[in-house]
Amino acid sequence: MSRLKDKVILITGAGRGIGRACAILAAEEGADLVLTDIGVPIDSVPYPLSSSDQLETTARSCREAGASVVARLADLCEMDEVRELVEEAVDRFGRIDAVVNNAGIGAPAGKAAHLYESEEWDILLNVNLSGPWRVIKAAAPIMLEQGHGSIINIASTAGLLGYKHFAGYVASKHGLVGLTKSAALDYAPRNIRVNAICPGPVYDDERLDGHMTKVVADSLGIRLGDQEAIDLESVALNTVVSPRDVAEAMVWLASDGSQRVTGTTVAVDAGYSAK
Amino acid sequence: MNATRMAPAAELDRAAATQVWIIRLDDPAAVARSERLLLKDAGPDFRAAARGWVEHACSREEREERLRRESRRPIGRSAKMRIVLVTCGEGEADLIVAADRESVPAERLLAAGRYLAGESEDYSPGDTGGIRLDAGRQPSWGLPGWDRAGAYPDSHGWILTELDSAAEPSTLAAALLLSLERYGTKNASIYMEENGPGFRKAASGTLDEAGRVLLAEESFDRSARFDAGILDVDLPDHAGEFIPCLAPPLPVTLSAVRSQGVLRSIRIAASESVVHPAVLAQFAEVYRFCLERLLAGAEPPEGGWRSLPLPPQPSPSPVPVLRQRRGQPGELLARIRSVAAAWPHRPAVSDQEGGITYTDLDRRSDLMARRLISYGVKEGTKVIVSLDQTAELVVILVAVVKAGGTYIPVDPGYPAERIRFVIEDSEAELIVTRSEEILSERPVRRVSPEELASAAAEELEGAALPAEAPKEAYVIYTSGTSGQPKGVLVPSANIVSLIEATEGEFKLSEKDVWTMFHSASFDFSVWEMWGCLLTGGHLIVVPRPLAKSPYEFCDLLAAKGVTVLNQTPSAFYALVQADGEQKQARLASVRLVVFGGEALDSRKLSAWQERYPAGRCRLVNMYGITETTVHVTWRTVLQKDPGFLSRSVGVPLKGWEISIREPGGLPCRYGMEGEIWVGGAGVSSGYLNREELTRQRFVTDENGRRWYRSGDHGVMRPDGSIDYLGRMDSQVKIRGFRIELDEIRAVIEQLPQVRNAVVLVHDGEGGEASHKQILAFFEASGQLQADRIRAELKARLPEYMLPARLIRVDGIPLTINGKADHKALLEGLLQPEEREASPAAAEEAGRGADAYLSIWSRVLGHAVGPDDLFFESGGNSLLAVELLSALKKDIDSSLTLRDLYIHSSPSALHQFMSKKILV
Repeated sequence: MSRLKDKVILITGAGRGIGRACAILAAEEGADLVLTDIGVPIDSVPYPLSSSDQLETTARSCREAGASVVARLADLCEMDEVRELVEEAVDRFGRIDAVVNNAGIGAPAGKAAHLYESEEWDILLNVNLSGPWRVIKAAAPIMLEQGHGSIINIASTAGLLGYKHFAGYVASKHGLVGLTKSAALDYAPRNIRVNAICPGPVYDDERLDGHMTKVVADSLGIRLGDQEAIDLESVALNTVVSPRDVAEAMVWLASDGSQRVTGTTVAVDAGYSAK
Repeated sequence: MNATRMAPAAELDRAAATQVWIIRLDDPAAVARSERLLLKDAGPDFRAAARGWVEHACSREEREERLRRESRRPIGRSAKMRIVLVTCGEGEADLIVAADRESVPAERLLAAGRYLAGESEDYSPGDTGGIRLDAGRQPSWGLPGWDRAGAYPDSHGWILTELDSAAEPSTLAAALLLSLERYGTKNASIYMEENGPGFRKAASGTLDEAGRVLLAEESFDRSARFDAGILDVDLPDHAGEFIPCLAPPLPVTLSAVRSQGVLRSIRIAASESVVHPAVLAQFAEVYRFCLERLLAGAEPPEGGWRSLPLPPQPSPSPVPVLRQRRGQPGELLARIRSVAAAWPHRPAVSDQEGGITYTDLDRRSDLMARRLISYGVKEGTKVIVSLDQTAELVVILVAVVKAGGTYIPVDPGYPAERIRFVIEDSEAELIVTRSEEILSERPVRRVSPEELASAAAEELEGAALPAEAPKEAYVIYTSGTSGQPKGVLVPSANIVSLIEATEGEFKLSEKDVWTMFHSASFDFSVWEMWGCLLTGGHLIVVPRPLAKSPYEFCDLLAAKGVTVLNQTPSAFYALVQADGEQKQARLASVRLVVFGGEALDSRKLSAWQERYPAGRCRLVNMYGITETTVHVTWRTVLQKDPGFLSRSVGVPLKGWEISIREPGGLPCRYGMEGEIWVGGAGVSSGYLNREELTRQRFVTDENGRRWYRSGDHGVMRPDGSIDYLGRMDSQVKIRGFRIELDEIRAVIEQLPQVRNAVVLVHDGEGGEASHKQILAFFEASGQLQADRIRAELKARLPEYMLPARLIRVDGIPLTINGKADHKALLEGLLQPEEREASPAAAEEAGRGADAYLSIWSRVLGHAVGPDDLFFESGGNSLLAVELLSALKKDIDSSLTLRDLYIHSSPSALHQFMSKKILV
């Protein structure tokens, strides 16, 4: 397949899960890639984040699929690191056709809104909302100069609906959907498209080192198996979403096949939000 | 010649700045060294100048794919080189070195490559500097904004190979300048850059009078706007592949790659946003042809290299001609009878006196036809019809055709002299007129319309009518180069073809109401009359005085519910103004407006388009010529049309054909200017009694096809549409009228006192069509007054041919070539027209009138007197609109166009306004 032939795509949070699925599918579709993840823990986040080994694993899979890959650790809370990442992408590939803002954290969570500590609240918004904004801030000038580009923000059904005891996460993802719509209007005259994908319950694919369902279960203090059962019950289809499903939507939004699509949210949620 | 596609336009800037050098390494030691240096061990100079990556390919296919990708990537903003090593298996690799060509000389890429491959121990950046260029001039021949405008254009290139030669850069430049000149770019300026071992130099080049190329290094101006450029790069023999730019940095860019001085290939590239790929392909052929001739050391042709005949095009025009069954002579009458049978009671023709149905039209024209036959009219008899614009005129024209005759419409408003000329020139046997004044030395039977109509029905009932229309239906006289008008003989079948070619596209039907706005002696009316009658519509004949007033015409259109309107653009602009002064949109019934007769300025249509949007009223611009039966091409005009379409007159009608030809008669390539030749169903029989002229203008080409050489200048786009660029000779079009300036000059020069005369068109300020006026300069002996000449001209020429001004000069200034110096003549225009001095009138006008006078002369572009009537001193309906807006601004905002039409001299309007203000 070559839906992304000759395209250069920057993917954040590419170390595992949906990010890794997006990277591998993009490589299979002919893209060259700039992959990044944090590689170190964050203090207020109660679970281990991607390691540099996991990022390297993704990069290796992509190279095997034929892509040229730049893999680089970066903390998206640091503007300088984001800038350097984008500079390296342009030095290596000369342009950036698409950005996939996938990096995000699912916890701290599991409590009512007033029970969040300030640092907890701040880190959720800083990673999930300000992180994508920083990447846009660094990459949009490149796309403006090129005269084209596609920005894909991986939000969540939590960007469309409320989730009990996940106020911080939900607020950040609703914010990301708002950022998507406004930025779409900002850049539409210059042929840069901005869209969001809202995945619903995604199962943890072990081959991708998937982790999110476990984070949710841990936040709510229930067993992983129970959370999986709850997720399956909540969707309309007979199965929950796989990371590959999300990657398919990403490929479409990054490709020329969606060249008249901007400012929209694509729910890949097995019918969760239709209920 | 191989075609290539390059970066999309959005990336042209960066891609145009990117040069790439590809080296294939097959020495394992060199590969290992490159990898080691790139990953860690390179010296500080190298690390400061370049950044490297290593990629591994698992298979030969993957290696080729990676090489393809790497060699197409634009360079980023970094001043560093980008070096990628693609390794494959044991000891083989590709080294791809890319850098910004504007800041990094090609030589530095080679130095980096040599250092990595182990050919040199150290990397030395050298000290040759970069060159940055400004954007060039957009080539007018490239026909930008073609059918894919708005998408993301790519740049395209053609690679010329098998050129092994030591061609000097100056020869490449000469061939480029010659090619550009063939495409109409006179005095082209090109950029010439040479990169070789140890040097990089830039120069600009032009072609001198003798067709030699001049390259000037000293006067090189990097901010100059170049038409094209050559990047000439000389590489060492083993250097691998070098791509001087990924996209063209200049409007047309030639990248010439040599190795050790020998030319290997030339890539000719341009963005498709400035040169259509099909035009570029042909340009590349022309370039190759010119270059090969120059390289072969051929002697220049007699007229210099500029006149080098190009080879015929390898294939005929790829644009398919829309074939249409040709009309047959019999069908003209058959159609009109079938219309009468289909809608016997529908109104056919009306005027201010009333109207008649199709049955009436059929019956009356039959009777008149029989009467005409009784007067001796038979197949091909020429019958002059000189009547006012009424329904009766239409019935008589139809009757002439039914009788087998060929009608010759002559406007009764024409001077007697011109009418007499037509009678004699056409050898007409009969003239239908009410005028007693028409005199002729030839015996010609004069018949009044009353006589034609008075025939007792019974008396003529039995006389047989011909079954078919005559071979030629009509003769229309147009301006002639010899100083005499000439009659164009148009077959009946052509009328049928014209209607069949348009009725489907324009959805012409019995529900339509048309106006016959134009004089029957102007062929636009042929379309109005037959277009309506052959499709069952209702034809409203507009009397001349009413046609001159846009207000009354607007009232008429609204009252009659006219649906199909045919207008010259000038007349339509005035109508738009008149309609715009009404609060209500009253012309909503008009569903189709067809423009013809002169160039359209679509910017002046916006008020109409806002009021009557495209979904309700379609605007169609048509290009046409009397000799090819009214219309030739058509194009729907839309409000959102991009600017580049302003000169486009669209594509030929079904059955009509267009070819753009060089002076020698060979077809031009796309984008090359030439004469418009018209072929197909509309080509007329020729000029009446002018065999020599007919032979000159109606020609048969090498394929046996008959063409009319229009004398119009045009250019064809790859989609088969044409841009109309104006007249090639002195024939001009002013406000829709085709005027041969020599004809006016001939009349002036016939006066015994006149020694010399020059007639020219002055574009006026800003070069707007509305300011165009005819100026006549004359050199005379004795006391000849301009008024005397004007009287003579009025007696012999139609009003539209009268010069706006007659200017007496002591002598016609000449240019260095001995030709009349138009520029010098126009500079002498500061003096007002010679006239009877009227100091009293000037005084009477008083100081307040000065403002009126100055506005008048500003709009007309020349000095005027207080009593000069606007429409007799160069004014027209379009200028009247401009005069109104100037008067509204400076005098009184309540003025209307109607006031201007009634009080049309500066003093009259001044007096009118003085009273108005007092009231």
